[in-house]
Amino acid sequence: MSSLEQIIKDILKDTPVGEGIDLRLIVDKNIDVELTKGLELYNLEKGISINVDGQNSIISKINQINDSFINEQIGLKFKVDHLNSKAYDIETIDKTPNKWDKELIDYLNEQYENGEYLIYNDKLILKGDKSSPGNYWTGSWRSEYDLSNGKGEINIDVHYYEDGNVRLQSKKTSIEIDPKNLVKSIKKIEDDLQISLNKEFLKLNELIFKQLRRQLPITRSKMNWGKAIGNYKLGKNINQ
Amino acid sequence: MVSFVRFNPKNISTNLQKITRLNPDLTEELLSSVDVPLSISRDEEDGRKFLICDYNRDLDSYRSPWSNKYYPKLDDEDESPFPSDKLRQLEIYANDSFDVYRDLYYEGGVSSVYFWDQEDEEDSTNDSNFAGVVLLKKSTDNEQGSWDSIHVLEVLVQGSSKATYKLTSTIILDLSNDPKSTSLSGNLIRQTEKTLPITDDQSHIVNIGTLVEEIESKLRNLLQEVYFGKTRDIVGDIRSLQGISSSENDKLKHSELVKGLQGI
Repeated sequence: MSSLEQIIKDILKDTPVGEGIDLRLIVDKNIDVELTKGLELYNLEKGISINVDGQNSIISKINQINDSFINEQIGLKFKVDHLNSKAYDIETIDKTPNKWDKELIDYLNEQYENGEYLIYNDKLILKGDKSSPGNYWTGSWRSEYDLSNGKGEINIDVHYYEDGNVRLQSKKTSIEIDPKNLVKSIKKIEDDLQISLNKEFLKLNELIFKQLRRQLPITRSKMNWGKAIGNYKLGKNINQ
Repeated sequence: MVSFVRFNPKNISTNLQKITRLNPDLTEELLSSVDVPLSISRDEEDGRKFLICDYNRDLDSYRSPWSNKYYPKLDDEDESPFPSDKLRQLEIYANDSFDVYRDLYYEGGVSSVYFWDQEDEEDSTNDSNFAGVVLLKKSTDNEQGSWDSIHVLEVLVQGSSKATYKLTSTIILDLSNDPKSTSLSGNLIRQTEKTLPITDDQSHIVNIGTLVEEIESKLRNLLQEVYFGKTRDIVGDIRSLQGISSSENDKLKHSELVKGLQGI
């Protein structure tokens, strides 16, 4: 792998879902080959959605067979031009209903913004995402489960960029669900995770953020700038 | 132009290195427009720590605000940039003042202030203008949190009674939980311009100090709101904890309530 390809992959991997960077704008030579490989990795890792004949399909390693993608829920097989985010060589295949289809659709409609899912070969991806450029943010939630052993992983990624650049990233691995009671156990796990994330925010605020800079000095009054600074005695001066 | 805010602020330094490898011509623009967390050096003569950035750098050495010397030591410092004697006196006073500020608000950490002379483009007899940077850094002992303040400022003196202060303030805040599975990282930026009265040179430090204190208090509130409120709300927007139909029910109930109240 060329170092150019590696750099492009590293940069793309780190960008928020829904906010690709067109690196062609900053590199002076043709990088279509390297960029295509970088985008392929990005698209498959983030499980992004591609429009296939008017229907959305998640593309991921789980439904990739050689250089094609299979989606049994919508009954299509297709290839993807990663550089232009376009599906091509689209073929119709048999739809294969899954016993969890209805429950999953109901769950996504009830719980997720732009919820989508994909099941293939005992692997399940479900995700929701939203982009609000007018309010300067994007966010995504992606869960991946192995229905054969119940193991799973959840990734949450939020980007807020009004007057700055703030990123929340949360990754929860070694999750276990009950494949026999799939959707109910997913709901339980995901509700719990969201509640514990909210608690995490409180903890980071109370325990870490407050240690960095006080809202007011311990005297409860603002600093007296000017000649009076000689009256202050330095306390915890770790510089010394 | 590529929007730099799409690069992950958590790994901003390595991301910048990678971009400059893709296009070395962007190096200057990136260094001047994207702030990275500050590094700490030690003044060998004075013993105290100081903060390093591009503004106090010459070759691979950095000028300490305490001894006014470059570290690692340069063979010939005469060629290196230093503030004029008059401005250096003000810089010493600024560093003493911000050391107190650091202690009051940060109860630890490191502070450094650097000044450099600026010419008045319209009036060459005015040698009172200057520019500078106020830096503050604090990390928690467990390395779960770090805060970097960078205030780049310009002082334009108008006559003998007032001066205009232009500040660009960036606070870089990185937080993570114990197993490092959740991280909140990034920065917020704010620009401020204010004209204030002066009586002597020391007035500048009172004015700059008061402005920095005010800006940091506001940014601290904003950081708290964005890091712990906004991001949580966005997660809640993507995945509704209570369920979308029940929140729609709530909205319906609310609008019925409003209608009911209007009927009274």
